[in-house]
Amino acid sequence: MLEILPTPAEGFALVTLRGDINSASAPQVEQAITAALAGQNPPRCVLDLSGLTYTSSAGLRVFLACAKRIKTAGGTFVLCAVQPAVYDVLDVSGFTRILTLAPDLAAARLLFPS
Amino acid sequence: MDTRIDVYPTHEIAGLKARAGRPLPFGATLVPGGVNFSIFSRHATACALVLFRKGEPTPFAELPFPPEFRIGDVFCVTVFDLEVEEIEYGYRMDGPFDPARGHRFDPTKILSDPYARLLSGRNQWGVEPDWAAPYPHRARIAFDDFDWQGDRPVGTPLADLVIYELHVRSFTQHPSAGVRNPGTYAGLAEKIPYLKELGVNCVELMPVFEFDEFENSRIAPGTGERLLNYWGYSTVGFFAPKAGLAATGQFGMQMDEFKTLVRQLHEAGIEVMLDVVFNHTAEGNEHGPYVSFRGIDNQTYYILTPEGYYYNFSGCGNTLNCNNPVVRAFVLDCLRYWAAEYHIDGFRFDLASILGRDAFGAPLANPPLLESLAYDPILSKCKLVAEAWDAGGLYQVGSFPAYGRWAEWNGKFRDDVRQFLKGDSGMAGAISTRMQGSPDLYGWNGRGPTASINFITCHDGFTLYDSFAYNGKHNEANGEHNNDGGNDNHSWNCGWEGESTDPEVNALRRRQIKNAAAMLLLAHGVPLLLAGDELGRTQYGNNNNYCHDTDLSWIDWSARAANADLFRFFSRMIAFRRAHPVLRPLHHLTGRISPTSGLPEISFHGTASWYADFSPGSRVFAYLLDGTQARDGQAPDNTLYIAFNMHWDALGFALPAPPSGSRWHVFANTGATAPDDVFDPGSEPILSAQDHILVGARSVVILVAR
Repeated sequence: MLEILPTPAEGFALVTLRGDINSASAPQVEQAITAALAGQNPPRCVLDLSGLTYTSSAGLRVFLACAKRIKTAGGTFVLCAVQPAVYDVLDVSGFTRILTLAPDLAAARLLFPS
Repeated sequence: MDTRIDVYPTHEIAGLKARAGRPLPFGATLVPGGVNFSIFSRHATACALVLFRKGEPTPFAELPFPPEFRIGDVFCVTVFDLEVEEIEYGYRMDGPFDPARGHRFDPTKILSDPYARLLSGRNQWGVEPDWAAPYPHRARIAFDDFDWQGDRPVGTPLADLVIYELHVRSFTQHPSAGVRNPGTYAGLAEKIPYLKELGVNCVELMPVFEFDEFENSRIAPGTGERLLNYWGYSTVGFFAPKAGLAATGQFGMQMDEFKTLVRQLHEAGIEVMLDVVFNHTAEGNEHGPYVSFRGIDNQTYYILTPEGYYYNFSGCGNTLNCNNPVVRAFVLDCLRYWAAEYHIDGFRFDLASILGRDAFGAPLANPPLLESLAYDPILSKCKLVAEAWDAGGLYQVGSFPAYGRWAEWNGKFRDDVRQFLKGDSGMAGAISTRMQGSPDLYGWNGRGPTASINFITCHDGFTLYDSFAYNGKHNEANGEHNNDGGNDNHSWNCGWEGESTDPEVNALRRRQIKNAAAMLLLAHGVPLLLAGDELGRTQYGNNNNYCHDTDLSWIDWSARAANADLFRFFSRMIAFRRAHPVLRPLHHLTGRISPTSGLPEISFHGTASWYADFSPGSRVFAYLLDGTQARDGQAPDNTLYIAFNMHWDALGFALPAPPSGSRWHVFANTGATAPDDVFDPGSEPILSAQDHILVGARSVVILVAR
């Protein structure tokens, strides 16, 4: 099961994911990120993954695609509070070098000085 | 622009929207709105695309190709609205079953795409498969979204390469490896600091194309355990990295993990060479399974006898028909893919002589495949290395069709150096030639010393330690009553067969390992080391270790402390080679005398200076390399004096005078015990007597003039 919670935040779009991402739910994540970014220029997005226990490769590909799209638009895309099981896959597949990670939401906020 | 490319479906087949596809590229390719599938078969009468949901035994759709979807011998279709990540695909081909004419079509089989870039079915190493599964090696659709972050091939000149051959799983599977992801690409990446410390700048990975580790029905005598095809010289998917060697194989992320490994190795200045097996496939002979080629177009892909049986030049049941133009293009496509998509720096071709045989098995004078590879624009910077023989009796060391590009595993270097090391007499002349980069093999044809990949040990045969611990092979654990594996090991047990408690025997073995390391890293040409030799790794006399997923294969990292002197010797020899361009010439030396030094480029010596003993009884060889002429005088270096004494007695060697103004310093003396056996390059101690040296029994001395 995956819960996607667009969360109010100051100065950036915040999307909180809870549960697990599989290939059926991965497109919803992408849609949620796209919706949260509406009207933002440059796009700034934080994914709070403190409650994400597992993601299939489909979810990882969504993170990658969003990161590239937002970077291309001159914006910032941050994953915060990545749990160990998800982190291991990100790390071994090389994604930790491509994605911006923050240990928690407070640290992610610091990346967006107001 | 998109509107100018037709991306709308024209057909509905089996409930899926489709249109006639594009014949190229072969394989499954993401296109706007769908996936383009394309596969060759010359003799199939009908073909269907079979689609599965991930892991399910029965397909959810089967799309027969209508005649208008066939262009020439290619079936191609674009299918729309597929859940790309959720799908596995295969093909069903119909056609004649007429073995005498080479055809073995079987429409009951589902066939894997030879161009599949991602395969599932063996996602986790060693998890026994469901043998009744109708489609075991399942093609998946791959993404091309890896971020290389500006990575590019390292581009180390061949002459400067130090190759380190390893098996991905063996390298870190042992519990002592201390890595988070043992036995995987990621685990190997964690060991990069070790590779840097050792000093190697190229890793040659034993097969990483998808294979089936369960392709072995033998049982280990005694233990009753199932033996494996552990090494993987039996390819199931040529475009797919082996999932079971990836920590993320269960997530289908092996492509990313492997690319990450390559990127990290490149960052460390280490090249990646792949051991590729194009001589045969995992389909075996007429009793073997249908994986893909046999059912797609048997007559095209395999070399067949006039009666339609499989020629077995590989020793593995079948032989790929490499010089058929279709197969040739397949091999080329595959290597281009690995070079372009995975940033691979070079390839070592297993039993490469098969790549020079024609459709009837006869060796070609000008094999089109080898020529194509040599001149290919995409592979032009890749190292191409041939194992220049096959199991059908073709032996081409020194005569492999090279086109100015191909290097060879120099089997003669291995055989001569091993015989010399074990004390065989009459080897001095051969050793002189081998140390000079084998001009007898690569001089007359202008190929130069870098055509010679020098090695003393490799995955086949004894480890270095076992070469000095066993007279004969001990392969009982392989389940063939010790009949498998080579018998020409040129090994010597130093006085006791197997593990010994005799300190003299053990000291001699360590000295011999150092002698071998010295000869390998001094020789002109390109050295190749077998992983673990620097830690004194043993296989307990097994010289054909292809089937053991046990500590018989795994590197035991806890052995490092007890073998610190060996590691130290290897790493300093590598550093010494790197420090001295005179050891890495681009051309064979001629003996030309320098007007400045008055010395020949190379001169030969023995126990007397300026007199080499090449007589049949000789076990001694010494030589002097003139530093002023290093790399044709372009890289001035120290003058080096190197003495090998493989006699069982210590012998006094009269030394040639060092160049005026310099004195002899001792870089290495394997007759001394650590730490006096080898020094840091640049801080070698001076030799007390400058005109002679006592070289211990079975010892190597290396002197530097400065």
